[in-house]
Amino acid sequence: MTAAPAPPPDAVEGRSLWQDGLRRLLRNRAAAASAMFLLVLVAACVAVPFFVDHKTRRTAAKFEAPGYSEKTRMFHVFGTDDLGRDLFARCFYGGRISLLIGVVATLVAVAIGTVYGSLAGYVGGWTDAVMMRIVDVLYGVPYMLIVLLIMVAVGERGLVPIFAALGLFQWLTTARIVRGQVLSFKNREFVQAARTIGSSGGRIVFRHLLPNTMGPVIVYSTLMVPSVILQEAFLSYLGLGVQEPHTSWGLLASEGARAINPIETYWWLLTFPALFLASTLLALNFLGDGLRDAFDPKGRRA
Amino acid sequence: MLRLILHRLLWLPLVLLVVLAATTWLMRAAPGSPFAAEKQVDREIQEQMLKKWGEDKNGRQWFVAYLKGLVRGDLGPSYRVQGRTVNDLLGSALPVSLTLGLLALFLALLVGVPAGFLAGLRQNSLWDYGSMALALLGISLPAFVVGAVLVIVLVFNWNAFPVGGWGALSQLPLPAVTLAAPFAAVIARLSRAGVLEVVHEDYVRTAKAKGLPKGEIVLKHLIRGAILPVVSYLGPAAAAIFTGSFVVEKLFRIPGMGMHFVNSAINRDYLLILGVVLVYSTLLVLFNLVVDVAYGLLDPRVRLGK
Repeated sequence: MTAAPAPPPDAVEGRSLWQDGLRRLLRNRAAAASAMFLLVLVAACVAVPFFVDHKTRRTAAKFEAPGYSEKTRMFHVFGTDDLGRDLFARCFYGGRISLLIGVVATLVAVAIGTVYGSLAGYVGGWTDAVMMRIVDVLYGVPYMLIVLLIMVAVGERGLVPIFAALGLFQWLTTARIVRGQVLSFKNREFVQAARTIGSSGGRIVFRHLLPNTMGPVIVYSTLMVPSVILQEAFLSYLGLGVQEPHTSWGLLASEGARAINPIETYWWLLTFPALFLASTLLALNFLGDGLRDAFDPKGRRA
Repeated sequence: MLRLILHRLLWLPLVLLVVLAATTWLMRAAPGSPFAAEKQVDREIQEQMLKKWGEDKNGRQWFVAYLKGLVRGDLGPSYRVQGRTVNDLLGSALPVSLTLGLLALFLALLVGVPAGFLAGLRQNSLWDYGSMALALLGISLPAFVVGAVLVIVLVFNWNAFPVGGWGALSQLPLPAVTLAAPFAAVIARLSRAGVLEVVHEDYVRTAKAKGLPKGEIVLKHLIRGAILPVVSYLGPAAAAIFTGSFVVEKLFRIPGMGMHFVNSAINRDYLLILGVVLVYSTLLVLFNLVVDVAYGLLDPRVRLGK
């Protein structure tokens, strides 16, 4: 890697930590490309289902291979599924739901973890000890087991139970990160200064401490979205995730995996949804890694 | 060191007790009942069970009854699988999962560590980008996709392996690879990060300054520090890998722990759930202990147990 060109001497200008990090992020080609890709993908997943038809079942045209279909007299870029629906349309529609679940469940988890962790860290003492021991115990309980119990208990399933099941029990690591950050900041001068001018505890936490913890939390959240999407895929594989007629990449891919048999491989049913799933998760992981490198002072390159 | 081990082993029952209590509370707090599902349990069995493990008892009495059995090594009957006890079910599944898990863990280390080291030692080379992209792909693909692709190519197209099952040597490689893939990917990423962490340390520079050959520096000096992130990951990873994977077991028809893991939750088979959690937490605590001991041996800066 070549060093960035030195700024011209007359352009000496202060840069904040965030601007600095953003510059480093954009210089990381993989991360910048991933961010672009994700933006385009999100836009496509929002827009495409408005224009193409993902619902119509054409019973005469089940399992049509990608390309022009004589039976429907239509062009199916990704072929059709077991009910004769256009897979291209369903991939984009499924993307909406997969991405939505990934983002919302992550937000739920991060919100709980941030509140819990900052409370433990700020109050300290016995409260902190008890709260963190609870976290330790919950770490010992297999997470998926709890998610499955909830999904089974709920029975009739919309999207909300999935958000809840995946989000409500995944805040443990966020709580640890936030607590650690709060502990390291709460005795700094700027917090003492806030206290001496009479700021309330809540104000100190929300205005002074939490903004300082957001760096690592954002990095961790970016890496959590792909793992939530994968967990949803696992739930869908078990038949406990998204329900027909809705769909998700995980559900599409698991239907594709199920359609495999020795006589006829409907390869498109597995390939295309898996491609969407993998490229999205890849981009999210690249972006998360890039964010970590950009905002972690230890990883700063000369 | 010995004190640390003894100390941890003495704490093990208490840790298990707390985790079991938390699980009991969580599973009983969820709405519904194991006997309410559409799959009907035999009436007689149901009544018998209700008497001993009854819903009518409150949570604490129920839990105490369970603990009494546990002390005698009796994990209780399965609510769902008729005529089988939890001891029975786990006793036959655990050896299978341990065998497959050991193989998969070995595979993951064998692939992940060298790949990560090479990537870290040649940072920003083609090798680095290639292996890290592959590792990210390994994390980004669900197991059912990896497994399905292996089945299509190696079983259906090339006929290189049997479709599935358990008992023959030829039935091992495919499930082991599928199970190992995500772990190998994480291990590769961690060992790369580990190498980058220590490669600029003074003791590595000293070794270089002494004029030691590169291979010796890596094997004698670098590896100790660089492997630490992998070692600490191995605790939870081993616990997860040894309790099996539902997807792998279903795809390759393997009678392992992963099945019970998922089915117990779906059927709300309370005693089987607790049995599975017991195995998982025990493995987790034990492997974390092994990890801590290994840490002390690898890194002279870490002093354990005072």
